[in-house]
Amino acid sequence: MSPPELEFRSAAPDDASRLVAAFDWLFEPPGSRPAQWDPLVAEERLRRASSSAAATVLLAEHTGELVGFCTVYLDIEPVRFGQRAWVEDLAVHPDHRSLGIGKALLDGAKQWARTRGAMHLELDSAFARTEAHRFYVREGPSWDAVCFGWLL
Amino acid sequence: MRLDVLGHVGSRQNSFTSVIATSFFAYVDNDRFSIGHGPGLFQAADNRRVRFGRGLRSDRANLLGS
Repeated sequence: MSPPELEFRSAAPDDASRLVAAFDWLFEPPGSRPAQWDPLVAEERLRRASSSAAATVLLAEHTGELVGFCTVYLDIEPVRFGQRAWVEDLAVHPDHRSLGIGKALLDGAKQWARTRGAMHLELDSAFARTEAHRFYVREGPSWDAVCFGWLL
Repeated sequence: MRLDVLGHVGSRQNSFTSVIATSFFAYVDNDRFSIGHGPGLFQAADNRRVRFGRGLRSDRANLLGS
């Protein structure tokens, strides 16, 4: 069930500008701003995601104010597991946390992906985000694993 | 060699460490880390993260992980 007084929708390309500002929620500790962060590049990427058939940006709004967002992509098709959906960004405004908005966005991402043929949905999260991990564990993941990344 | 990997991950002190370590044990025990993916390679990673996955069609089909 959606939290009261909230509206959820897929972003339009014109939402990209204010979405970029909301990424600051992800950069707050224990997160950090990527060294290569460029707001103009980010805005263009958000425009592409919100106009692509293989991606969407889900928004949560409270009386018109952006209070949460989630980017989800159809990406690889693993031989063993079939089409994967990947949640890359999931963030809620600091003043609106613990109200079920994150869960509603994650559920929305699952539904979006399921209706587009995805077999599984995955995300990763930095080691330091222990509060987020507790949320993901409560959501009953089918598995967990450890990821490693290298900047190229 | 394997203990080096577990010790490296286990050095992080938080409530999720035990889950991470369990994952490593499970993967190591099942030889999911193939030869050539030694601890030195892991420790050189720029960005170490935890991954969660959820089956959307049949959980049973995904229990083996990826």
